[in-house]
Amino acid sequence: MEVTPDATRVVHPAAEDVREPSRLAPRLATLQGTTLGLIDNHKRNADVYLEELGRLLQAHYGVARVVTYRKISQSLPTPAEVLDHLARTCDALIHAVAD
Amino acid sequence: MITHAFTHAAQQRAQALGLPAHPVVVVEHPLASKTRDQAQDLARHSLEAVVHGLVAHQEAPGRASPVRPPPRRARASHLPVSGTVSAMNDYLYDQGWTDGLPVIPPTPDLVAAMLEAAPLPAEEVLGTLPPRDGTVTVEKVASNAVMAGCQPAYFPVVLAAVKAVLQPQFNAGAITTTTGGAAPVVIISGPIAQQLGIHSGTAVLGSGHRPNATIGRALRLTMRNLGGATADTMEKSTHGWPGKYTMCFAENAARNPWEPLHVALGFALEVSIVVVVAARGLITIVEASQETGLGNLETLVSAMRGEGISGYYYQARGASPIVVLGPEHAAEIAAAGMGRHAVKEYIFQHARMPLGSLRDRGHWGARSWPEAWEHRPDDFPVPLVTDPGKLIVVVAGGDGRHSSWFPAWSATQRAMEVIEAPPERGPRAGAPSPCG
Repeated sequence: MEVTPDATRVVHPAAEDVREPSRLAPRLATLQGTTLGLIDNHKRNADVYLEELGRLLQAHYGVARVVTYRKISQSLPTPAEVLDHLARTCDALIHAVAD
Repeated sequence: MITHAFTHAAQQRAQALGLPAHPVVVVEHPLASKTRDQAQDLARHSLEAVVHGLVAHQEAPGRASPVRPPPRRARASHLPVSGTVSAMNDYLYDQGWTDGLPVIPPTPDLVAAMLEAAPLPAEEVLGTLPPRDGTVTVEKVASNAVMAGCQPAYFPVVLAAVKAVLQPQFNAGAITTTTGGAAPVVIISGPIAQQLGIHSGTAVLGSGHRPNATIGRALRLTMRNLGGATADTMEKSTHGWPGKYTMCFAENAARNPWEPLHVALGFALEVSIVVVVAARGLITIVEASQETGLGNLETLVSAMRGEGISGYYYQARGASPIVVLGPEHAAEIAAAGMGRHAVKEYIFQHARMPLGSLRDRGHWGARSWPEAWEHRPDDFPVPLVTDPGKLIVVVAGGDGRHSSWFPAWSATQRAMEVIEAPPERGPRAGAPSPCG
């Protein structure tokens, strides 16, 4: 037998946070002469993929320099100080791979 | 860059970060099992999309805002629901707020009764729980504890478990998003275990005991509803294991031949603690033929070797496998003159795999272990942990010639919290328990 009032309330059990949207960093006007940062999350083949990507971007789009950081583990975030350094010294960052 | 199997998870995470329009390049899943040539080919095929994301991607207008810290006070909203308990369960399930089993609808009166047992005020913010980054308040945890079927008396233990999971080294976000199926194992050690009737004996890792079932479940519901641990969104376990529902037990103090676990971990005798470890599963062994404690350990350790055990590739983080000795095995080990430290030392020395057998297996490509091991020969015996102190050895269970162990997930460290007692309050007349 189920006995309940016809209408009741429940205390919302889940997250009610609504994150205000942030603005993406402005896109690059060109890749010519830029420094590209590649973050390899240590998943198998992330390095292979990123290395080839970096090579192609240098060969065909004029990227001047590629900087690669390999995480010690795919399951740990990139250290904040590493991200700060890459953000300061690179024009763009690419992270791989969510797998 | 992501593979297509992670599209939804990536969208959810981007939303949680306030960057819903973040450019993402999607490639065929899986990348990890591709050959080198195939992986390079994927890079060539995704080049145009990458360039677009760097130079041409347009997002909807939005104002820039820095990441804000969570509010110091936040009360949960109250949602109108109607109908029978079945209908309310259907509603809660359809919202994605349950684990698939029926729940106790968290009505305000039941949540208030739960909060009576809290050592902290309802609006207290304990932190944010990744990957959803939901704000964790005492009240929200109480709502989930009601849903789980907790008695109010259990709530201090639930809060301690949630606080443990929020410790940064536990790495709660990765626990949820890993394909490795990690679930928290909650061990209680201290006087509160007996006070609350948290089970530690027969079928301790099974079912049938309300504190065990509901405390662990409350933690999991909290991780689900505030942390976003829902399957096929940010929860990406290939399999998972039943610990994803609940896994909570107490040390069998009466049959433990050594010092209490919490004392061994550095806490005072009169204190009660939770120890939370993210585990990948549970393995049980029988040893009914050997007559010595050493024989028991030999058989147990034989079940702690295997190329598919992720810990053999991931020692750098310092995860804590849990060994649960059945009381009979523990008694024999103690009779052989071994204490908990000696057991850990034995396991450290003998739970090992030849480096050559790990090569190109398991997590070889993503291994994270001491640099010195890279230069070791193939017969180098790789240990499961780099330090015996990482192991947790606890006595629990009933009669019988069995012991068990929980392989730890990799990129995490154990978390411990003292269970705080609620402040002294007068009895609250008519305070209901979650089951009426």
